[in-house]
Amino acid sequence: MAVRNNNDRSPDMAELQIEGLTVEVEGQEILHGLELVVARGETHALMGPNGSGKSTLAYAIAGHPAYEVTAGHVRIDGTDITELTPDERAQLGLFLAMQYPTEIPGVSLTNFLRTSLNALRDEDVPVRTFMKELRAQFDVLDMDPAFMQRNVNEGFSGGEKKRFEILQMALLRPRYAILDETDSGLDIDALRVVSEGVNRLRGPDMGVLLITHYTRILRYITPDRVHVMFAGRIVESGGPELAEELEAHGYERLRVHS
Amino acid sequence: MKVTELTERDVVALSEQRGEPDWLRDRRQEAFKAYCDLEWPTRRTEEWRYTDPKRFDLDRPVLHGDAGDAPITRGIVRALGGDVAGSVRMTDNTVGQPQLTVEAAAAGVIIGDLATAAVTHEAVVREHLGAVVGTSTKFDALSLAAHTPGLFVYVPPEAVLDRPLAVTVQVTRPGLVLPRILVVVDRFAEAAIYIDHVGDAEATVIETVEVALGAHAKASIVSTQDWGDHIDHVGAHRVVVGQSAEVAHLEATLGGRTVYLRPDCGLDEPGGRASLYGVYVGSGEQQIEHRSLIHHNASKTTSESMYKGALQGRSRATWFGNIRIEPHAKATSSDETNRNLILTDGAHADSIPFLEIQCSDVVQCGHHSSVGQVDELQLFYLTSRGIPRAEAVRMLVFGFFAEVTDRIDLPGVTETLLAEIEHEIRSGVLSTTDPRRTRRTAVVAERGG
Repeated sequence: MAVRNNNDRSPDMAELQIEGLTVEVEGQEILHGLELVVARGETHALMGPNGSGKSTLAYAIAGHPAYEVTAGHVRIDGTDITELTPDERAQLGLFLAMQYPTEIPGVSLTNFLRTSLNALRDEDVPVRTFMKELRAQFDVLDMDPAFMQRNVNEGFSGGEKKRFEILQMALLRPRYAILDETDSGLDIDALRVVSEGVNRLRGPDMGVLLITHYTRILRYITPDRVHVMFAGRIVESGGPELAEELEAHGYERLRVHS
Repeated sequence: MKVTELTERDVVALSEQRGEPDWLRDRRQEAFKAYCDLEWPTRRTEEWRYTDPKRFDLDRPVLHGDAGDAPITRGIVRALGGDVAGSVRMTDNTVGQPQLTVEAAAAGVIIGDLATAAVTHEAVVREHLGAVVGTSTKFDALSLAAHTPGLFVYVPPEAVLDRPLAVTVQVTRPGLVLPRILVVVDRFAEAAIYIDHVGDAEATVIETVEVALGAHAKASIVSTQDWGDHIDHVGAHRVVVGQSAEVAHLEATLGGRTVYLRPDCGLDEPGGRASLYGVYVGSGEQQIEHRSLIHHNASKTTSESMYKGALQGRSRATWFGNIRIEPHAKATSSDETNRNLILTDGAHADSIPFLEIQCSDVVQCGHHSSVGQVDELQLFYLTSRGIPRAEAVRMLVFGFFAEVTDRIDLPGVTETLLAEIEHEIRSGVLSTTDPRRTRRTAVVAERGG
């Protein structure tokens, strides 16, 4: 794998590090030198109003082709991934649960997951082992096993798509997971199932960046740190109490900072 | 003998060599007259705007003498092994020894040389030969006048075959060959017929497949164009559907230097249903055209057409789909779709839906057409899960084709075709570079970095 080493930090840095990240979309600069570090084992919530650049950050970290990094770096455990392709980033343990998961007609869910698992584990996972793991995850996330016969995200409701994102995370076991507004559009039951799914996976081996607009999901998933984003930068960071403050006063007070 | 120098005497001699009855010789002679009255198409002929007829070398000598002997390495029939109700191979200008299971033979199924059948089954051959594909174009008239080899496939009334009948059209020697296949699936009969086109040589193939379905018959016709790189193949593959009969017709065009097909369908009797499917993959310098007429010529007839193609290298493909609804054909439903994936920059596709609706009493009539590239959002989704880009492209291409092949639920079809498509795609040069990287390099270069 072509991994550039000239900017690498020491390999014992178990963290997702975003340094001076500047990102353009269609020629317009959306992120302006953003700084953020998520240590493995921690869960960070990233909050902010619409248009503050939260999803841009998520896509840029994952390597979406429409998001162009014009300055700065993203590193995983000291390895610079800024120039890597999305699959190379996934190989290093990155996972993005998308806000709007893509429907892929003609590609079966099981074929997709098995190909993905084989690529990430670099082995041919036996079909029986794979199906056993898959059924267990369907059970945990309270998903209808009939979905196994479907194509990827095809005909899924919004809530089903979000559950399927969390199911993939559970199956692929990333070192760093970015959840991009996984809570949006979920009813209260689905929110609980999804949150439980995330909490079950939290632990010393995984760092989570939970991107959200509302504080609602933070009642189920307690973050170690909360960051507030505004106009393409992190403008405030703190403990879980920061979320409560935002709940009480909203994002309006941020405009003072900017 | 060359077709450009064909004489009436040649046609009569051909008929006599093959021991054909007088009525068939007469039919050849009539067709020859029509052939003489027609002009060869040129690039200015409407039907030949997209494929230059000059690609078909007509000065090659018509194949005669013993057939060549070459192993068959491709096609659905080969993949099936012997699990068929009957089979026959047409190699160059000869028809091989047909095979039929005891059950199929007992049911009255016929598969064999057309000249023989013209004597033993005169009534049915005489009724249909040249009735489905006549003499309206130069190539059609030539086929009826000078076809050899000829094959007759017959499924008698109420016979239901649970395994396919397999025909392999094989070309092994350079020259020009004129195969003609007549398939009759009689009333209330059910059968699947596979026709594989295989082999390679500097050869021109001028072919006719005419299929007649009796009332309430059900037939699946799968034709694969699995040629090597040197074959130029022009073919009329036309099905006429009887009252309340149903046909599913799949064209799979993967090989050949030039393939120009007319997969037409005549819905001439009330209640007939037709599903016309196609998959094609163009590579290298290949040129492919599917030009289809779906003719709603009776009331309450239904048609659905879906053709999908992927193109790489410098290949070109044309799909022209015409739905014609006659004034007397009431309450018809029809829908046609063509989708093209351009896999590399040099490839090109033309997609032309065409509707001739002459009747106001139509239940439904729609068309859908597109030429595009592999969806970058879908690619991002797959690659973000660790799947390398080239593999992700292949998955999307298979998904694209499976949507067509899955509609024909027949043994060996989907597996064989997807495996052959995979082989074609792997042999091509995929655009597997991440556009983000290319752009970034360009940006760096602009900034002088």
